[in-house]
Amino acid sequence: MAEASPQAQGADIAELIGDLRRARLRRLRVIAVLAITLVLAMLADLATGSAGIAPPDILRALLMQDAVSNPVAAIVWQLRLPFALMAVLVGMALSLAGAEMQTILDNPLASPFTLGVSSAASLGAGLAMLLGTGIPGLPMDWLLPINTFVFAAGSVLLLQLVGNARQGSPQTLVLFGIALVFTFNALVALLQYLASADALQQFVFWSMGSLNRSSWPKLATLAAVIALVLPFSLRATWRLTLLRFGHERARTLGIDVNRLRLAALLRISLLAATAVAFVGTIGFVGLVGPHIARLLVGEDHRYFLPASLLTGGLLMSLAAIAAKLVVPGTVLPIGIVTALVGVPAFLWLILRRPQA
Amino acid sequence: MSGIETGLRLRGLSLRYGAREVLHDITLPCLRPGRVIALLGPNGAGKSSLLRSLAGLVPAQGELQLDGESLAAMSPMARAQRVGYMPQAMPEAIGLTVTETLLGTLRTDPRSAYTDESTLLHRIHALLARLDLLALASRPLSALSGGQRQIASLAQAMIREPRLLLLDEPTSALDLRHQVDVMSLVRSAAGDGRIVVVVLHDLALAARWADEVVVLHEGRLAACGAPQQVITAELLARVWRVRAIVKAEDRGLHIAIEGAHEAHRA
Ligand SMILES: Nc1ncnc2c1ncn2[C@@H]1O[C@H](COP(=O)(O)OP(=O)(O)O)[C@@H](O)[C@H]1O
Ligand SMILES: [Mg+2]
Repeated sequence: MAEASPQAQGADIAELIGDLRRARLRRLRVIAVLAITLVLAMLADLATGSAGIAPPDILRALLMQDAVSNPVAAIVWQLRLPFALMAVLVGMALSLAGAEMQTILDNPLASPFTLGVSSAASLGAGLAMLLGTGIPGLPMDWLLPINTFVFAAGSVLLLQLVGNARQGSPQTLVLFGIALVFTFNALVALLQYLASADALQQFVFWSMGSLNRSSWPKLATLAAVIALVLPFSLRATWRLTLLRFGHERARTLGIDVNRLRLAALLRISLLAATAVAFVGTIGFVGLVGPHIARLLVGEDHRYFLPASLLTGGLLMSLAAIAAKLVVPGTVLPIGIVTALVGVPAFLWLILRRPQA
Repeated sequence: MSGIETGLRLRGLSLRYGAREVLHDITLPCLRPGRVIALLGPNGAGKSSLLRSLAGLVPAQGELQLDGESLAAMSPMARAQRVGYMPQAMPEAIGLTVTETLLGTLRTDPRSAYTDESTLLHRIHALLARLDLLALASRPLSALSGGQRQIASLAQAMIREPRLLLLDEPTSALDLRHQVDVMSLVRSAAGDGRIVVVVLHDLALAARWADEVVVLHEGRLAACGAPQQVITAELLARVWRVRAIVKAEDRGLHIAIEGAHEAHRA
């Protein structure tokens, strides 16, 4: 190969194409394995719980949903399945949002919560819970998520305004986001100080993140948001990929970086805000999901974004299982468990790396 | 093409960062296609700033026309198709292979967004072969040496076959052989009817490969013309503040640096 003669040129192009094909196949294989593992994890999640239902009964209940009188079917359809699906969808939404966030901020430490999204969400939730204020005429079950969503999405738009007004570099945006985090946290602390003990406890529990409030309409909403956002993410994959060369280089390649960033921020705010609204703040998945995906498939966003979606779903599904197993008889808030599951997965990937 | 002025026209160009003006009213004779223009000058002279304004990264005042069309009036994509820019530095930790980088650069260009992939790969292959980069084509950029990454960056600037090619110190991290390879590639790119503006620090390299040199000093045009005429001991003393003996040779110049030029120490 080193002393390629002119005649070998023909072979070289075949080699170039072959290398590219093989790399693609390898990535598709990784994505397929992730998808299969995700399904298996979900099944395991369904089979785990305090009621001690045997896996075959669970499968049977899944297939015959109309068995209303059947208590197993009731548990599966009203508790386990919504919880399991919610875990996966939330993981997907946060991880995809994190992947895009890391790219547009050119910062591997970014997550959907870096720029104050989760703090803003906490403030929204706090206002709803601690003061009981919100939009009139809305059922309480939805007041919380909607208030949370409005604040989370609002914080992202605020950032975009700042980013545009000052032709902000990624660094400017990160700094402003950190300023937002402190502001929102201070306001949340103020609310907590003023709140009653009861409301306070409720709020603290919420902020740990929990699947307890899962329901089919909420699942449908989150699924719809992901389905709405994903095609736009996928359409932007090449442009996002080139953003890795820096904003300036991307601009000289004709990419409208400001528009790309605005669109990505809108997607991120939709995904993160909806997820936070339904299950509370769940850290780490949005940070580590994309990292694992990057280690597995590289940074070609055509593979990186779908892989991030799957790693996020998988991490959350594993966390949901762990939440039921760590303390027997209790289901821990999933937000507590995500880091406990994510860190070992992350370390394993980093440490096994050198040979590649 | 008759009637329309071909080439790059640059008149009265001024550039400021905030309150500081770093390029002052620069006017060059028209830069013709087929020419390699070396942009020379000490650190901070404004070379990168000039390239960045040509690439549309910083708004400059003055007249900038490519083939009779104002660069400022072009849409960003039209401009990007005609102006290829290689920045001085490239981020190190990018998890993309060389081939993927070039494929992405072609795919984001509307002219080749839907071209079938094997056509694009043939183009990529041809360029990589010219750059002696084939053996590294399937390596991630993050696993290349600084010099190898620099050549990949050059490939990215060239792959869309722009009319105007702007290269900011493309040889700074290269060994001798690769400097020669890159410069002869730059020459042949110009031969295809391109205008190449290349920032160099090595005056001998400039004299050997460039058709014209443009020398900047503190944001002003210090000299401009054929290398053999422009690069003199007097210029080196005035602009670079070094004492040197400069001898014209068949192909290029022989430059022997003797030391700092005391008289020009501020
Ligand atoms: N972004 C910037 N903001 C302010 N000043 C800058 C900026 N970039 C470069 N400069 C200044 O402009 C002058 C020219 O810089 P540059 O064009 O990078 O020089 P060169 O490439 O010739 O070494 C220098 O004095 C430098 O300090
Ligand atoms: Mg420079």
